[in-house]
Amino acid sequence: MNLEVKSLVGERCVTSEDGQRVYDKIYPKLAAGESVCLDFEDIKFFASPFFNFAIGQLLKDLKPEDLNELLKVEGIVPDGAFVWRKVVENAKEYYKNPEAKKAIDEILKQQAEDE
Amino acid sequence: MELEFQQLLDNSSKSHPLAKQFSAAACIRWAFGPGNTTKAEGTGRGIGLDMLKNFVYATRGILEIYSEDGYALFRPRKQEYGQLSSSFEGTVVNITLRCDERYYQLADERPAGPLF
Repeated sequence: MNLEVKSLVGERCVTSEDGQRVYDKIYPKLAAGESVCLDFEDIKFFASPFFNFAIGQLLKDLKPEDLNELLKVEGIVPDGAFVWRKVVENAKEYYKNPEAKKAIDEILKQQAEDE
Repeated sequence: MELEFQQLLDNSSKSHPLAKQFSAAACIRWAFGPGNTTKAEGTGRGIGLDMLKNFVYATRGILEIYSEDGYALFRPRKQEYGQLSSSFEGTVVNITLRCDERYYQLADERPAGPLF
């Protein structure tokens, strides 16, 4: 599968909603073991919320080594690659200890409900 | 460039259960920590402010945030969090950038490697 990101979300990869749209397109393919190529041609603006949802959440249940095998990227400018790597680092840390993260999330939810 | 946001930190931040236990300055400091987010669920988040801070550092600019009675100030070789003498509702962000490409160092200097 080859996805021209600009045709899906426009010239700016910024919002989490647009990132989710990319994720919804590519996750089923990757989960099925199919190759995906993301083409970022003509995109010059990137922000972490977009990548958090487009690719960060792939690490929830897909292994990095599998993603490195299946997911390719083309046409991304250095600034975009920089943000991509930062997001992946952060996502790896987030999913490293899912039980601890879940416990914290549940505590925060419960405290919010008690207010 | 001066940006004014009535609520830079959205309602979820203000109503965050931990916010009531800490000063505004402490909350701002926490917000700048990589990976810190008020979103209770979802994927990894919370790196935007850290990236903004590092971008300002890399371009030798200045970043100031004032919220309620707390503030954060980032300038070359200086990072400061503190308490204001008075409080106000809302948040003000001042970002001073050097428009000089020689200072632009955001690109990752590490060699290209695997995407994940």
